[in-house]
Amino acid sequence: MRLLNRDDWYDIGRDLDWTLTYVDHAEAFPDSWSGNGVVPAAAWDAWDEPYRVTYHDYVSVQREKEGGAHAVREALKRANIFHKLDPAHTASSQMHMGTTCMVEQMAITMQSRFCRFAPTPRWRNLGVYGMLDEIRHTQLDMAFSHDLLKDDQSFDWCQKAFHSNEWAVIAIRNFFDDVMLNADCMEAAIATSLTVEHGFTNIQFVALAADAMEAGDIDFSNLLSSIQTDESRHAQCGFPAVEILMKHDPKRAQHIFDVSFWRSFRLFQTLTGISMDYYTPLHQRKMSFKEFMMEWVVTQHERTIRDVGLQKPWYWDEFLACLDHGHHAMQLGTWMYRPTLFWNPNAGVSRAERKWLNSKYPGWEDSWGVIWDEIIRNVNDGAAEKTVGATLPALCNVTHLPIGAHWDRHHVSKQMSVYKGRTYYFDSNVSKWIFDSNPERYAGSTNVVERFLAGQIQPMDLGGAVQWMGLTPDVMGDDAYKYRWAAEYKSPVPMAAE
Amino acid sequence: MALFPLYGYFKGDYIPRLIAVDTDDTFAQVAGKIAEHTVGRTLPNDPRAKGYVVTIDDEIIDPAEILGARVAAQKVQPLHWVDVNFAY
Repeated sequence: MRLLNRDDWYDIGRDLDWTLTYVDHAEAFPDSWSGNGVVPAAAWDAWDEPYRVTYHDYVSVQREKEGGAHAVREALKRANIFHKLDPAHTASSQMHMGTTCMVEQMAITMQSRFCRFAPTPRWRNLGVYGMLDEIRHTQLDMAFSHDLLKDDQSFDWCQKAFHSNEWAVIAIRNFFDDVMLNADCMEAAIATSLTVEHGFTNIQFVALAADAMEAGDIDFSNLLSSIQTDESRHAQCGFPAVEILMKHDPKRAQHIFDVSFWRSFRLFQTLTGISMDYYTPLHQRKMSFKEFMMEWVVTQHERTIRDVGLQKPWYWDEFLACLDHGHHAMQLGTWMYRPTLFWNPNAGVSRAERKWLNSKYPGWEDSWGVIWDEIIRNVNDGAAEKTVGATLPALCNVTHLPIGAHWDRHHVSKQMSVYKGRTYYFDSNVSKWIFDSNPERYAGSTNVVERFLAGQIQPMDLGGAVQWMGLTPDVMGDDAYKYRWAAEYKSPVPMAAE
Repeated sequence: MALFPLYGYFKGDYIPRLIAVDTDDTFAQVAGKIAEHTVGRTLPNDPRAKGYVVTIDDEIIDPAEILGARVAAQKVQPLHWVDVNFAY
């Protein structure tokens, strides 16, 4: 018997649905899970997936991808390339593994929610592939990290990080709780699929894979490329969802986009910003974080905004201004609080690196150079203890990131709200707006400082905090190059003379 | 006499921090406890400065005032934001 062509049966298989008679539709698809809101049932007939795939096709393609990824992995296990890598690049890969692997695990739950509660069978059908993608990504990260455990215990944090209280992980977990686990299908499609995956991480994976290849880390590059091909496919699910919501509730669509864009950007500053401008070895840098953002992420979002009828977020000008700054603040903060990291951060401010930073960011010296000068003086005076934060930084009650770290030292300002008698502080007027527009969503969460004051951290000092974060001496962060980069500053060479 | 937590921000630094002070501290002492995390660590000392000035909610505070008095008057809460700058 001749098999039907895919197009002869695809629509029937995809649109499989039935009229519920034993339960009420609202009980089977509660609004709190589906996020359907005011969208009329008939509107979902317009939902059209941006790619067509059958289970047979999917398994066949994924099998090939898995075979390719693991073939490279097995070959490189024997080549022992890890010890040849630059320590700053290694920091990038450890940071990526620890901060990403369990996000992939969380995404399995989000995609499972699409499978069960999305308002149309077409979307539910695609959710299956998204869910399988995310299972694959989690397992790939775990397998590749497991191979590297024999070389460096920090790769243990691929699995461990999200089961710890490490402060950066708390910030990341909180964000993905907001846009994945605490989000209904509609919110998750716009906030995660459209904004985070399509707009930020898909592009980031391409850049990170290229950087890893340049740094000689073929294994990591291979892993990222394999994952990126899935991400670029399933991230497309956000488009039909936002198009329908724009027709029926554009205000809600805009709000979801504005919130998730800012929160994604703040994490992007923290992870990708420092990785590109400080951890990537200087001779391997192709473009600065700002150039990358302007050419890829901003362009991508501007196109999305235009295509689906959204407006630019109201804080767009501030966002553009912050591209010059926030990640430098996060670099300074993460390096100064290095015992709270599970990787060894690179300071990235040797004379040559500093010259590059000044060429890419004309205001860098005034905003950040003055602070690094004081740090370098302490390193060279043998007072390294003064280069480590001695008390906790004030933290934002929305992003859980340090207050002051979204812009530069000239824009640190008090942003606060009082809600039900409790005072909340924010890293920016945008994060304050996020909180004020939906305080119940964020009010119950406590940041590390508040947990410290509640007595959860004992003893009540930075040592107690590091212990509470789960960091052990074998993985606790220290300068990637053991401060050798600072020695050249002992001979005064004016920047202008370089 | 009791430990009291504040958010202290030294003007020109890149972040505010959690600062443990004592309700018996004068604001000159509070300023010193905030400044020790910045001056000589992330910003150089300013030899022209004659000390520090404390500002809370846009009000310049008398350095001799005791923190506890302001706490008792409910003008300062735990984790209140306190700005410090060099005084000239």
